[in-house]
Amino acid sequence: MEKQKSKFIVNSKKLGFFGDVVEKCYVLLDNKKVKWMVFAAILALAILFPLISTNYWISVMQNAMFFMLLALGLNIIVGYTGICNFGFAAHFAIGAYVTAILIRTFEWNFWLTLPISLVASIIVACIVAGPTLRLRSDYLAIVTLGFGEIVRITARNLQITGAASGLSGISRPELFGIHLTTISHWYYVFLALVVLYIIISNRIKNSRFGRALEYIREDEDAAMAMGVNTAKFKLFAFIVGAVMGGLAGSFFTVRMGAISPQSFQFIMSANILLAVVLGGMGKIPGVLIGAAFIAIFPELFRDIPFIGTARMLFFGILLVVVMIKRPQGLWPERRR
Amino acid sequence: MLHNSMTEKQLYANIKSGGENSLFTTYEIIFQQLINGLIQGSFYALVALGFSMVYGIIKLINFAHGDIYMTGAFISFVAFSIIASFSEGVVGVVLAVIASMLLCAAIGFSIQRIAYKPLFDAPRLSLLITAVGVSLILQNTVMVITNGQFMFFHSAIDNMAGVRFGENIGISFLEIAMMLITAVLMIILTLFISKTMWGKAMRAISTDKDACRLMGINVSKVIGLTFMIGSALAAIAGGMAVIYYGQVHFFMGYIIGMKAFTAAVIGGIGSIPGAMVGGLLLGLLEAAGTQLIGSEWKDVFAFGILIAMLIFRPNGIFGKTTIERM
Amino acid sequence: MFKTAKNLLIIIAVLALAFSVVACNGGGSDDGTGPINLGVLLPISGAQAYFGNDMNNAFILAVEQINEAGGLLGREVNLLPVADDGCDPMMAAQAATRITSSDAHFVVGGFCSGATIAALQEFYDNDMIMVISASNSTRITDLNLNQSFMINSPATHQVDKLVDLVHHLGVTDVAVIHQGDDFTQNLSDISNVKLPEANINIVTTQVMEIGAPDVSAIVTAIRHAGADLVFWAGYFADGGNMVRQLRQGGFEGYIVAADGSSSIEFIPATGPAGHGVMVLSTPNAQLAAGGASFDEAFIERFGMSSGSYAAHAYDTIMLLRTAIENAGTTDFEAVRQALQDIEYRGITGLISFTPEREIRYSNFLVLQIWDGEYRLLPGL
Repeated sequence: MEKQKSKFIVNSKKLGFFGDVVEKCYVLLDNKKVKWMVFAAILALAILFPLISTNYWISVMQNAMFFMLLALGLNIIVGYTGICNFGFAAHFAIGAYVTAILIRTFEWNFWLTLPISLVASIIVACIVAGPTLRLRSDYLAIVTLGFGEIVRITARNLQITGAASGLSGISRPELFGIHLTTISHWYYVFLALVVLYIIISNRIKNSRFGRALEYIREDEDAAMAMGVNTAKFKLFAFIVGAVMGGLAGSFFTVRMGAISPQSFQFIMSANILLAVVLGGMGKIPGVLIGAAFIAIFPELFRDIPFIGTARMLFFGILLVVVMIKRPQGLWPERRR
Repeated sequence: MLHNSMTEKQLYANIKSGGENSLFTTYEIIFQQLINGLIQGSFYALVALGFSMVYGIIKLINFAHGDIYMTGAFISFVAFSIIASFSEGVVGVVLAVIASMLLCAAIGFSIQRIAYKPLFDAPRLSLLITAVGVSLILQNTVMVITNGQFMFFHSAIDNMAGVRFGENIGISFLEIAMMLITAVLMIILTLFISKTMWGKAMRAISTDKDACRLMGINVSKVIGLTFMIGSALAAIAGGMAVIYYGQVHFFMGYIIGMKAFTAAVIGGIGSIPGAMVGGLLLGLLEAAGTQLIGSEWKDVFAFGILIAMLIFRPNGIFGKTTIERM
Repeated sequence: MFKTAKNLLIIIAVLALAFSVVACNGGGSDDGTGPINLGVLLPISGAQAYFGNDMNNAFILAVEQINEAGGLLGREVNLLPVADDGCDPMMAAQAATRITSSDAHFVVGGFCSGATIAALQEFYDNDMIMVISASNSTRITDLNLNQSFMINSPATHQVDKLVDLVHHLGVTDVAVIHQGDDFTQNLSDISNVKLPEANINIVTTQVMEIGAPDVSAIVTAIRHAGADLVFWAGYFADGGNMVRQLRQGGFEGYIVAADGSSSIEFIPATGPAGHGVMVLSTPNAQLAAGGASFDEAFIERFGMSSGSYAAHAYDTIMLLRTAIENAGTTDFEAVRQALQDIEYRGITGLISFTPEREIRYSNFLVLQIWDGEYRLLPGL
């Protein structure tokens, strides 16, 4: 065991370039000022991006940011608290459908649907998580997976959700008097949301709540013994993650103008989880990198002959290689 | 190749008047759906076994397992096509499935060595992501080879022949054979796990890997064997699927993988009899759901019962109460 | 806390600034010279990739023929690389922006209805006419976008044909099976309205999930319901499985499959059990009146026979060409009006549009699998 462990550490040290870069970045980012400068620089780049790019790449980036929102939401549940969730698409579906139904059927203003979407997300999260959070993680995995399927199939079967065709013709909202129609508009809306989600995630992480979650993740029994109300905190974390997913879903609805159950398949949940774990659980930059990777990688290879059709094969190989080389994720949390 | 017995007359004149009056009695319906559920459940159980064994021994939810089933089906299909040129009958079919078993066992072993072994001491979710990667690799390799197309297969085995009970109930010889094979495999596996040294080693490793290593058990060899057995079982299920459903597609492992995962958990993941019972139970639940509330709600019904059951029996049917860490 | 708030304010301010800069940018327009570019929306990955590639081949053939004959309005026609919708709404929305951000003037293609629907709004917003080759869900009509024209007969036409067929066969109890996706559920819903209107009972409606193996329970439920005829609204591969299991499970009535299954592949998929199964289909190259020469050209160019929707794809380009010639310009409104007024006889039949921009005349046929081949069902 000891031998294995040490070999493992040596391996990850040995491995090269990316590992070194991340280590250097850590050291660099320890400095608060540098941290802010890097953040500002990336943000500035992101803001300027649509001015120099084609619509196609703007939409790819916007899609990547949408994945980032979902991944940041799931990160609260999986990364911060260590609760397994295989059905995160369901939370995103709840928000998406609540907004779609309110706009389409009841002709609400989009911005007014957000509070309802939030409340619905909370209620659903309580229903799912309430009785099941005490289960072992593998069972929780199957419960969340089952829940994800139940939500998708229910949406497909009911008339109010538009059955298999879903709901289409959802009008785009206005913001500051501008009708949000072009792809650049949405790029900025999602960019603002990503910034907002990063700030929220960051504040949670550094709060008393966040520290309690970390404690639960590292050793639930010890946390309980120390008087942390683990059940309560786990439920809260689940709710926060679900709400973040739900609101992302609401914005997704008006961005797409149409939603259908096809967007909420298990593969979607798996992709979000992939983003979180690949990037580095619990670490915000890691999660962002993971989400960007998932969304952008397949696009990069689309037009190359042969590799284009087999791109998911290379994606699979890359996943395996990355995980073997960096088992903690691309940008793992630093152990204190 | 064509069914000559099915003449125009049969197809056109043999329409039974149905309508309001059902042709079935309630008992007949229950009996037929029971058969349907058990057949489907056999598939789930065979795939779930491999799932459960792997989980038991290295605590990995092996996402690629459904794709091993698919690979098994694909290899069987290729082997059928080759063997069919000189041996059409049951012998050829059996040979093809055995070839597929051996190859899949080798594939399962290699996957374990190359992709999983370096990560045994890493966080469990990392291992899971690797499994997703392996799943993508298997799926897309077959996709590239087959150009994404479906492949259809018709064996010489006549699936129409079978036993009939009265007017309405029937089960084909092929179906009986499949259920028998499943049952025999399960009995052999149970004996293997409970009686042999290898089986004992597997059980020991699932309890405490480090202690086993200290006791001089070759842990790595035993884990490799577990993957080989699990993959071979999935390959058998895949081979049976080719004969029974007559088609192969690179995506066919996805649904069955998910269902087998469910079945393994219902039974109590890590438990061999649990996987069998879980698989059969899931098959029966789906048949019942289809009959009682309609096929569009079938999966909701099955998953709903599953979740309810887990709330009341949090460790599955045969699962042990354990404390765990992520 | 204070610092964070201040930084946040700065971020918001910068965001708003950039937002207002890009808020007013327009798309590219056609200056009347250079090639006429056609954007292509098709699935060339995923389960439907075969159809996408097949249709794109037909596009290539049609464009080559036009250019050999001197182009269109004296300009060359240029087919852009396929924007892959993967038959998935999210991918389709992305593919649509890919087309609108290219130099495309018109869009052709559209196979999976769900994906086409997700893409159409983007084309509408950018004043791009789309001639939809294969997608035929009535949900496209419901969107009521004035620049999208459907040249494949919609589901309503198909169900009309089904009603004729059911009356012709003289049965009354029908079971419908769909696959729980946009296209097949739409067909099932329309059947559930139109069949009862024609005094045909629908005894049960079932769902077989795409790729799901467990069909025997559905077969039992259908036999239990006492159906004389099963209408399979789904796709060919699962259709093969369903037909086999229906026959194995002892169902002896008629089986009719919808156009989602009308592929040459449906015959090997069903195997021996497929003998006698009927298929509602729009004319493919092998069956249509003028299809022979097209099919020959297709085989010569690509070395294989064309698939179920290649003829539709070929007609799409030729129809668009006729409309542009009639309009005499590539101007959006003029071409739109020309398409609205067009009467064009293509391989798949006479194409003209209703005010809702659906194809006016049904071109559905009834085929039957007989001794391992399709034949036109006599009498219909």
